[in-house]
Amino acid sequence: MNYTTIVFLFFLLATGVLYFSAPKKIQWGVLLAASMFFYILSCGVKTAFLLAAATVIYTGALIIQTIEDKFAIRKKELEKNQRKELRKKAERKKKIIAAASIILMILMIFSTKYFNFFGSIINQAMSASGIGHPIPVLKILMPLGISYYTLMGISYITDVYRKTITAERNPLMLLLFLCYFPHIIEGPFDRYAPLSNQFRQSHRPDYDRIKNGGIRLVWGLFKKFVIADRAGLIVNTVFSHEDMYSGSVFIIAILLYTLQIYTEFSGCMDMVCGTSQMFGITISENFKRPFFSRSINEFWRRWHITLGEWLKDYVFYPVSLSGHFKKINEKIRKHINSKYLLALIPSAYALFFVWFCNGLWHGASIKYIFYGLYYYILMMMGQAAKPLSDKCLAKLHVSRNSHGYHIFEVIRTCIIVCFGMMIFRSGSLSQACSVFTGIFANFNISQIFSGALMVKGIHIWDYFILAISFMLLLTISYLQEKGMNIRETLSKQIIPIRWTIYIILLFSIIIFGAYGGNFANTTFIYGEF
Amino acid sequence: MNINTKNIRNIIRAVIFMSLFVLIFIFLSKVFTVSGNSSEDGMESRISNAYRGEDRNSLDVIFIGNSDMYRGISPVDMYHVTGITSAVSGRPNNSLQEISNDIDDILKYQKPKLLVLETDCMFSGKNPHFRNSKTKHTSLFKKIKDSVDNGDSAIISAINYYFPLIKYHDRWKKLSLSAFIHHSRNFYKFHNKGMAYSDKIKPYISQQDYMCSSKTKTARISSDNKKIFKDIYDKCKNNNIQLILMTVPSANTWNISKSQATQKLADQYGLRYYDYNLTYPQDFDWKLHTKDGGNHLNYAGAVTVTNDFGRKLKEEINLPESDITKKQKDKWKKDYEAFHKKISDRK
Repeated sequence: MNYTTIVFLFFLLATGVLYFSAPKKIQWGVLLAASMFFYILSCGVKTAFLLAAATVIYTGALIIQTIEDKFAIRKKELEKNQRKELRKKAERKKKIIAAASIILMILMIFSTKYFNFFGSIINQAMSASGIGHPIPVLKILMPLGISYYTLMGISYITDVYRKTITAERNPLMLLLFLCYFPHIIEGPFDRYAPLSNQFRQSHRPDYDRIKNGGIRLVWGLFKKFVIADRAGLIVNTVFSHEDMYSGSVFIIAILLYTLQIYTEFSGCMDMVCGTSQMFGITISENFKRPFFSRSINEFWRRWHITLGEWLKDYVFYPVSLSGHFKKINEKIRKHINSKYLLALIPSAYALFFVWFCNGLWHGASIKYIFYGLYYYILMMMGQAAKPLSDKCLAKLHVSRNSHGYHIFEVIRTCIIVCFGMMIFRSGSLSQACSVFTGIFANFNISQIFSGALMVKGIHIWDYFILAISFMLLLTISYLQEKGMNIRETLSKQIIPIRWTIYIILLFSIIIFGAYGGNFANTTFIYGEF
Repeated sequence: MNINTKNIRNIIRAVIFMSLFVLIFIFLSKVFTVSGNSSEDGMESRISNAYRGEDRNSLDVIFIGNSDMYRGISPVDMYHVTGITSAVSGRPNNSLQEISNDIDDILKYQKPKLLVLETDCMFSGKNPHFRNSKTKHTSLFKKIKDSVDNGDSAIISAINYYFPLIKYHDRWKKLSLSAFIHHSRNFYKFHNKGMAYSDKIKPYISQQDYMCSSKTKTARISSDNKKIFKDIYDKCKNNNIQLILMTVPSANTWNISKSQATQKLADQYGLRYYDYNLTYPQDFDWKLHTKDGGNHLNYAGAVTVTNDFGRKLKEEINLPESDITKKQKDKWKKDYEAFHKKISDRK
C-alpha cells in the first residue's frame, strides 16, 4: 500500500472512523492495529524484522531502566564513596546493554541493507590477494522502513540510557512508535517522548484539524504527481542514455532532478504530516524551505531535518564526547598553538563521522558515501576559508548582511546542492564523473533547442506545467519564508475563494498529474533507502 | 453557536463541497472523453469503435464481443462474398456490461439489422482487474493482500467506466475550447472495420477434445450477467434489431458446459445460437487457424468463420445485400482491396 493510492484513502477513512469512535483509552490501539495492518500488507513475513527490532529495544531499555531504578533505591542507603562505586558499576552495565542493543539494531540493518555492499568490497580485496570471493552475494529484499525504524530504535534506547526519557513499560506502545504508518515509509525520524505523549492523549474529531491535514495531504499529492513524477520522466530518460546528451541537457536534467527529489520528498512529508495531523498527532517536520539557505550548513538544517538532528545527537555528540576524541584533542593542543587550527581540526574529525554516516545511510554504495563526503569537504573548505573570505569581503566593501550578498549566497548554495544531486542521481560514481566532465567537455547548448528534451511521453505543455508549478511552489515557499501561514490565510477567505482554490488544486492533480499512459508508476525515492 | 450546530454546519459544508467536486468531475469527464476514434483522440482501443468511422446507418450487421470476436470475423471479406456490410466492435476482456454500454454508443451512429453477440463475455466478471486475478487464495491474508494490491486499478477502472476523466486526463494537451461545448469530430476509417489481423500460426495440438463433457466443470451464467443480457435483448427488440449469439472457435476458453448454458439462454429468449466449437466451419483446422495455441484465431481461421457465417446470413437468416449507395459500395470495394494489399505487402 502506497500513500498515493486510492486504497490508502479508504484505509485512512476506515482508520479515522474506528479511531474517533473508539474509547479514549484505546485510541492508540486503533492506530497500532492500523499501522500493523498497513505494515504486514506491505511487508508480509519481513514484519519479523520489525518485531525483532521492537523486542530488542524494548528489552534493552527495560533492563537499563531496571538498573537505573535499582541504583536510585539503593543509593539512599549508601555512603558517598560506595554510591560512586555503585554508580560506576550501574553505568558500566547500562553501557553494555545499550551497546549490545545498538549493535543488534546495526546488525539488523547491516544484514539487509549493507551485507552485499561490504561483501563485494571484501571480495574485491580478497580477489586482489588471490583468495577468491569468500563472501556470497545474497538476494535480500529490504524490509519496508528498516532504515527508519532501526534508527528510531537506536535513538530511543540511547535516550533511555542518557536518562532523557524513561523506558516504556508497554511493548505495544513502543511498537506503535516504530511502525506508526505515517512515518514508516519515508520517515521523519520521530523521537519517542513527544510522540508517545500524543498517542496517549485522547483525540476527538476536529473539523479544522482534519480539513487542514487534508489540505496538506492534497498539496503533497500535487507536488508528487504534478511536479516530481513529470520531472522524473525527463530525468530518467536523460540519465539512462548519457551518451546521447550534451552537457547543456545534463544541466537541465540535474536542475529537474533537484526539483523532482525536493518536491517528491517534501511532498511525501506533507502527505504524512497532513495524515497524522488529521488524527491529532503532530510528527516532526523534515523540511523548512531548504532552497532559501545561505550556506550548506543551513541547507542541512532545513533539508531532511530529522536525519540531521539524529546524526547530531547520536553520532556527532557521542564522537565529540568520547574518550578517544578527548585524547586526540589533548594531543593537538600540545602540538598546535593556532586558534584557527584548534577550532578546525576537532570539528573536522567529529564531522567526518557524521557525513560518512549520512552518505552511508542513503544507500549501500560508494556513490552515496562520496555524496556525504562531498558536503563534508565543502563544509570544511568553507570553514577553513572563512578568515580569507572575511578579508576579501572587507577589502571589496561587501557586507555579509547586504541583500545582494544574501542572493549570491542562496544561488551559490543552490548550485552546490545541484551538483550534489548529480552525484546522488547518477547510477554510479563513474557515471557521475562522466556527467560532470561532459558538462564542460561537451556543453553544446544547441541540443536543448533541437528537441533533445522532448523525451518520449513529454510534450512542450509538460514543460509549461512544470514552469507554472515551480512558480507556484516558489511563491508559496517565499510567502512562508516571510512568515505567512498559507493554510491559515486561506481559511480566513470567504467560501467562494477558498473552495475555488481547493477545487483547482484537486483537479490540477487529476488532470495535470503525471500518471497513467506514458508515465510510469513511481514509488518514493526515499522509500527505497 | 453551540457545538452541535457548528458540527452540523461543518458536515453540510463538507457534503456540499464533495457534491460540487463530483459534479465538476462528471462534467469534465464528458469534456475529456474521446468522441472520435483515432489514436490522436487518446482512445486506448480505437479499433473497437470502427463503426463510428463508417457512414451513418450504413452497417447492417454488428459483431460485438471480446478478442475472440475481433480475431474471428473479417467484415470486408464478408462484404466481398455476400454484399452485407458489417463491423466488429470488440475489446480485450470485454465484460457484458461494457458490451451493453457499447451497444448504446453503436446506436448513436448505426442502425444495424442484426447484432451478433460473441458469447464468451457471458461468463465474464464485473471488474476486469479483479477478474484477471487468477490466483485462488486459500488464506484470508492473501485474499486481503490481493484485494489491496489490485484495489487501486479496480477502483479506477470502475470510476473510468462511468466517468473516464482519470483515463483520459492527459488529453488536456489536445483539448480545444470547442470540446467544452460540442463533441462532433471527424472519425478515422479502418479498412478492416474493427478486425485485428494476425498471420501467426501456433497450432492447437491437444489430443483431448475440449468440448468433451466429462472433463469440464459446470459453467453458469451469473445472475448479474443474465440481467444485463436481458437489457441487451430489450435494447435490440426496441430498435428492431435481430439478436444472434455466436461462439468463435476457442479451445482454451470454451467448453461444452458453457455451450449448453448459452444454448439454454438462447432457447429461453428464442434466439439463434451458432457455436462454431460444436460444428467447425468448413475447412477449419486447429493446426493452421489459431495464432496462439487455440485461444484466438488467425486471419486464415477468421476467413473460414466469416465465410460460413456469411453463408448462414444469406441462407438461414435471409439477410439481403446491404442497400447502400454506389459511392459507398465503391468505398467498401476499395477498403477490401486496401486491406488485402496491406496483407500481401506484409508477406
